[in-house]
Amino acid sequence: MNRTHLITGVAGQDGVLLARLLRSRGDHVVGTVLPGRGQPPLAPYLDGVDLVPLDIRDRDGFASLVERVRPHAVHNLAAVSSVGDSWAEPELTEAVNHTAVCDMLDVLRDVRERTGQAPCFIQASSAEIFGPAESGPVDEDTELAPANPYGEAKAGAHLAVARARSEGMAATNLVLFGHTSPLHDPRFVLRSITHQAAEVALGRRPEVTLRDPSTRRDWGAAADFVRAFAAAVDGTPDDYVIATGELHALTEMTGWALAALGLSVTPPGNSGEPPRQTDVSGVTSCAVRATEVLGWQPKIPLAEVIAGMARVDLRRLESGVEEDPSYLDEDPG
Amino acid sequence: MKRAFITGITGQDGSYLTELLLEKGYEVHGLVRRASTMNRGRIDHIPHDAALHLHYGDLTDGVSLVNLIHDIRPDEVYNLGAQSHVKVSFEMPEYTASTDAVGTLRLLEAIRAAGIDCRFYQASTSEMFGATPPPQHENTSFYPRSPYGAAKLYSHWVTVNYREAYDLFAVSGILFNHESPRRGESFVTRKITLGVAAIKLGVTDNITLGNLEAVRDWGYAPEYVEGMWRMLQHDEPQDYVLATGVGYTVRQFCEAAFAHAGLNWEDHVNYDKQYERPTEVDALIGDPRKAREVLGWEAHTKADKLAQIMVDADIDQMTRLLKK
Repeated sequence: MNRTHLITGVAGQDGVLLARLLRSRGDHVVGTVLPGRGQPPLAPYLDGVDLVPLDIRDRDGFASLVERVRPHAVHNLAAVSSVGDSWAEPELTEAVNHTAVCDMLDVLRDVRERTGQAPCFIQASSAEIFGPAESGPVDEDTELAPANPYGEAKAGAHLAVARARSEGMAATNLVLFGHTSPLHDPRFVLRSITHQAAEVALGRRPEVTLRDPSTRRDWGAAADFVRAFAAAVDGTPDDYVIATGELHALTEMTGWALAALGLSVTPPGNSGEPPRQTDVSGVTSCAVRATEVLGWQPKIPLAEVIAGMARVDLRRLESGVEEDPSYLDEDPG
Repeated sequence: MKRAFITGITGQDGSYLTELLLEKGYEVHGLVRRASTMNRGRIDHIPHDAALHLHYGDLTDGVSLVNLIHDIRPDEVYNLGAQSHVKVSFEMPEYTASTDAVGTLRLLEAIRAAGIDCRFYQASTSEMFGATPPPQHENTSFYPRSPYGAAKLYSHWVTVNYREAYDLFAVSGILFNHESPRRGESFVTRKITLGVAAIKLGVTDNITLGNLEAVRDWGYAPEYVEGMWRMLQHDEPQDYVLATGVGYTVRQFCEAAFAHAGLNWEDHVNYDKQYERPTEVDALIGDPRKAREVLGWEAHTKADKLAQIMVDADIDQMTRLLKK
């Protein structure tokens, strides 16, 4: 169909995987990267993507970019992406994860007023908007109860998208649960597990140690999750939870990583670090609406993703090459 | 039954004016841009059996305007349609001029070509004063600072000119900032009241703003559309400033909005220089005496009350969205 997609935050894990998916379908992708930071680390995976330096807090810059590119869809993946960072920088988190989203939507409203049509807007919302729900699976109607600055800002943006949709804009929230791939930010726990497993394989450490090995989360394959963005472009604008419905403990994932590298499976040790405040553990969802309306379903077993990540982290350590497009061959899907 | 034709009917002012005129028993015709789906936007809540008719067309397309005016034969025309973003006007000056300046001329020519007896309202703006120091009134000299302001100034003068040259009942209403719960979300007032609602409902904890010291004269949009209507009901076509006459800083608006929700603004407002506008006009404060004396029009809702109205509406709407 050769449509143009604008992806903010294209140089993150999801941005890269979504851009590659859309490119593989013959679409044109323009992606924003933070200005003044030079080549983003994941740039080797972004062949064929038009990279534009833009801080999404720059409303006018976004307006001119939309004017120039005239995208069919805007996928908003740019964000202060970690809960931990959001405690350290709550104001920046609010400005990027919430205010900027309101402004982008307003730019699109303006485009619609002027031209009669606006690109659809797909927002990467987050399970963090629900906070540490007590029990049972959540869905699109679960009350918003964020418990950290990241979740608060994402909840504000979530509502801004809902408001825009109530005005007839094609604006969709994908409420993403945890998802991972070999391109996951190494500061997050799953990459930490696979990196440590690779170190064990090389004899550089005796075991994998974690802050809280008993943590259970609903995690999926990022390669699956980005398909939801592609599906949302042509689907009915709405809020959709994107999750696997399966909880796995970090202990279990550590086992997969070790097994993938031919190591004997031993339970992870405790790193002795204090548990994070208000860590969201045990929240899950079945993504019923996304399945029914968007035809989206998770396909890739998490165990295979973790195994691929462990193999890639081993290759990284052996070769000293941090990023290489061939690493994605290890990512199933 | 009087017939009105409104350009920009889906905007904030267009929607309030539509409600006002329907209430007064008008048949209302509105111009909307052609789109894949009919975009009713802010007039979506108006019942479909109301005396409201939407027509596809565009201020940049003179032929469509001639045909529409000829077919509708309105008694009153309100030209509210415009590309109204100052910053966008720097990026798209030609488009802005074609819509905001020549669009007005096309509409006036369509009225002349139809040969109908019709009253014309032109939506002029305090942005035409730009760098002129406050307070600004009908005889203050203009000094627009953007392609938007310059285009609007052309429309102001061509309206005056058609009044004088063709004896058309044409008026230019120079409106200072007027806000409402229907204000776009990137305007600072709405940004503040949405933030207050989200904080009050426990969704977020703070908002980010730029220059807190900018001075604006903020009134309540429904009162301003009443002023537009009154201008066309007067015996003589004249130009008027509509304003509250009171300057308010962004900081004061914040104080009022947060206080209304029982919050202290200083606990929740962050500053980010990203949101500073270097080209921003420093102070716009209107002098609305003429409108009061001639039309009996007055802005009753001042900025603090306006903040309360907007906060209440945003809390209501957000509560509904959260429940849905």
